[in-house]
Amino acid sequence: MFEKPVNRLLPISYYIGCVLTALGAAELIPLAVALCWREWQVAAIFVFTMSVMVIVGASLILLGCRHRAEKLSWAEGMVVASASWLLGMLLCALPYQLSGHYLSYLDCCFDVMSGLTTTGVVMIQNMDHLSYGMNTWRFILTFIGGQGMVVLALCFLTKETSGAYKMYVGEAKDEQLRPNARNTARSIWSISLLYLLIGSLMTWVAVMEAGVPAGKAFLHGVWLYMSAWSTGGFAPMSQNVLYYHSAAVEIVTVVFFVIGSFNFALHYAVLKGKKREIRRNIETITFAVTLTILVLITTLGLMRDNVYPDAMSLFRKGFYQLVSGHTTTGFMTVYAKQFYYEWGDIALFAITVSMLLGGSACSTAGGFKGLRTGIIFSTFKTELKRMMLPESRVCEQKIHHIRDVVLSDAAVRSAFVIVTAYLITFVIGTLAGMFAGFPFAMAAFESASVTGNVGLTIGISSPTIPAMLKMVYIVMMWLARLEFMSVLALGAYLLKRTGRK
Amino acid sequence: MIKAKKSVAIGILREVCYACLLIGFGLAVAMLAVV
Repeated sequence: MFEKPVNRLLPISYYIGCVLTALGAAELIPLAVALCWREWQVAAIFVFTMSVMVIVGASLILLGCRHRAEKLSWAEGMVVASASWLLGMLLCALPYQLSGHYLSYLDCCFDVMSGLTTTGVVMIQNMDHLSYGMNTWRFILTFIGGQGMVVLALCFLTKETSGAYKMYVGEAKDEQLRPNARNTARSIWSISLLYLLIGSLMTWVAVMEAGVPAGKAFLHGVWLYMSAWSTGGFAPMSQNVLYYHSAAVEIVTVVFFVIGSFNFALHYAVLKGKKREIRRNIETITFAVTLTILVLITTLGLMRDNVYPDAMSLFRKGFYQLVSGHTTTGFMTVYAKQFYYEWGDIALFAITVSMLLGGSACSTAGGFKGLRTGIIFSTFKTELKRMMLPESRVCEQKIHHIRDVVLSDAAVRSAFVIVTAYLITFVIGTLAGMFAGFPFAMAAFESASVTGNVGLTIGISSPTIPAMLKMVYIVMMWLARLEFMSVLALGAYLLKRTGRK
Repeated sequence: MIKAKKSVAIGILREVCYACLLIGFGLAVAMLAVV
């Protein structure tokens, strides 16, 4: 699997260095915000931490630059992706630690992993008084994590394309929008930045309509949009989207987190003028079907327990939370404890399932992904058809995803393997929550939220939970975001290097 | 260039319409449930 481990470390270190340098450079944005709003102390934090990140990144680049032309194997590409995420988490937590809003470095790492994986559960203290600069850093992390930090590095720093596609796949994005991985990465960022302009403007107007002054509303608009597009779930205030008490903010955010949960290949096809793609794509069809079923279950559950008496509350609370969960965003317009104490088991069940199903593959969303859910349903349908037809008839399994695709056994197997891995992670997370003393329903809800990189919380995730549970959740977020294989490749690589087989 | 811009604008509108359709559906279900 890995050849000559000692020498192979150098090209790996080169690519990891590129990713870390790109992350360090991203600190220029919160630094600029801190300077604009005269937050000198915060600006100093960013100057210091950016220097640390760039020095570490540049050292790794210098170490491996002579070996950068060497081709990476598939496993090495995956090692680069998973190790970059881990080291990135440790370094990106530095500004948080120096901000004084966290009780421990573990809490900082938790919030960074939550941001990068676009999960959205937080450990921060006194969030409502966080500086503008530090808040911007939170949302930049979510935005970069949504598009992918390897994708970012491929856009701006790496000229070598030999190992680029392998790193790109290692970050759980396997669609090729354009023939070259670097151009594909650029297309992903172009689509995101195009929507950033439109979305930020609309969210800014909606936040102003909610009564926030124009200057502050601008920052809230940009932050909320970044979080919605990345299906992140972070909000600038501790009450999340509930803080605004605004139907306009809720509608604008729903629109953008639904669009944000689409596959980048679908965006690319639709923006290129493929008229029927949005109606025919297996992921949009699967999303519409699963959402319909879950909306009905949630509504029936909430009605049965008489939680919301009028249609508008049912829509603004029930539907919003469900779509937020299904797209793996995590924006909330209810208090965390309301889920457990008011919503009842049926609605809680529907939201838990929606969080596990998730958005689209190769998007900013998490969960099983619509493509895999669609493939699994299509497999059941084909198998049923096969049983009905004479044995001599050959049944082809076809789906439409950008083009008509005949599914191979390997593609079906891969879908089942990844979904099984998600379910195992979900079970482990639920068990960990129960061992920490939480009831089954609460532990399962939080575990589904962390496994699906969602961010809806039932009240478990807080700085007071045991450190072990925080670490389990960090690993779960990391595993789920990279879709398991890259992290397993890193584990295999480390075992190989330490001499064990 | 103009054609490309037009197709991007139409593409964005298509995606927004899909999202709005889902929102409308959610509202309709909520209203039906209460009625």
